[in-house]
Amino acid sequence: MAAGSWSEGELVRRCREGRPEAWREMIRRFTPLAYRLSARMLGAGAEAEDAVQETFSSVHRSFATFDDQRSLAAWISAIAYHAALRRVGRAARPGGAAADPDAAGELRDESEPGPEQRAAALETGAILDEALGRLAVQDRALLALRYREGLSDSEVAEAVGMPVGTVKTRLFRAREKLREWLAPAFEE
Amino acid sequence: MDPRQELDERIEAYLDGTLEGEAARRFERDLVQPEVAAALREALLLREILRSTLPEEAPEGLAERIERELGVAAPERRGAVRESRFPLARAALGGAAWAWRGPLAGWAAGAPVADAAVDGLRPLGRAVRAGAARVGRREGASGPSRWSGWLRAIGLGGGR
Repeated sequence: MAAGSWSEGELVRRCREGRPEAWREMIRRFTPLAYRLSARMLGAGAEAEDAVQETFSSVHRSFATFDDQRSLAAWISAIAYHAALRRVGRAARPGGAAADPDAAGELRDESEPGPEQRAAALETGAILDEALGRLAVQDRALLALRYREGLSDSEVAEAVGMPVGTVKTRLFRAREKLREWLAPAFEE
Repeated sequence: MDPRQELDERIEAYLDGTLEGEAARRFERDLVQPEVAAALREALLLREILRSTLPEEAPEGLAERIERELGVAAPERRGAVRESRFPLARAALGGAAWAWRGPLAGWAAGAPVADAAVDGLRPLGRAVRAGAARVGRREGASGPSRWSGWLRAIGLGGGR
């Protein structure tokens, strides 16, 4: 049977046996998820790639502790989320202005673009990126896990280590802010 | 709970398909209210935008880098790394193997050689030529070739 068609249980069993082909399949399946989450939190580029590498080192090292009852996507998301969050904290510390990762999303230059730049930005999706950049880094992660990766509220809660109620409330507030900031784009 | 949050959560549950039975039917009846219909449209649009803004794939080469770091890279990939690491040694070994088989020298120099011998040695000759060309290119970048005499001697050029 080709590695691509292994069920999650089969993949886990083979990884436990230490089979290199199973680990390659694990990396092939979950690198995009880990990268998207890291990119949403850290911005696309080398920092996000390093966070993904760190994630898989951690997955490899601690695989014996993985509970078969959990979903691999949620477990790997949890490791990727914390790896990226640590990097956000480290990046914020030297300046001292944003030791709290909640505030890290506010660090960007929010100077208002002109009408022409705004029109161009709409075409490229930059307005959304700008709006997401204004959210706290955890909220960006919640949105990515919930809507891009399709995790349920409880899986998202498990991944980020927050109570389900907190996740729901934070998602609601993040959606409200995005609706407000994106209203001009919605109306066009 | 904030009524806006309550409506937002009903919409999310409806779109996720987790709003069941009577609750789903009640929500659908509420859609006649313009604010509920507008909120549903916005939620759908926001979902669509959020889904489409992140790349489908990780950057090229990232998975391979992770495989190497974890020591699980496929053997052929590890072979490719070895090959790119020791081009000179590989070319020299190829040349030595070729030199051991005398008939190819004549063929490489353009002399007539028995067809059977040439057929058997052609692949080896092609490999040596490729190796020699690579060595020549590399040497050419840094001045006169240390290998040029050897290459000339075996009829593969190098006479610069």
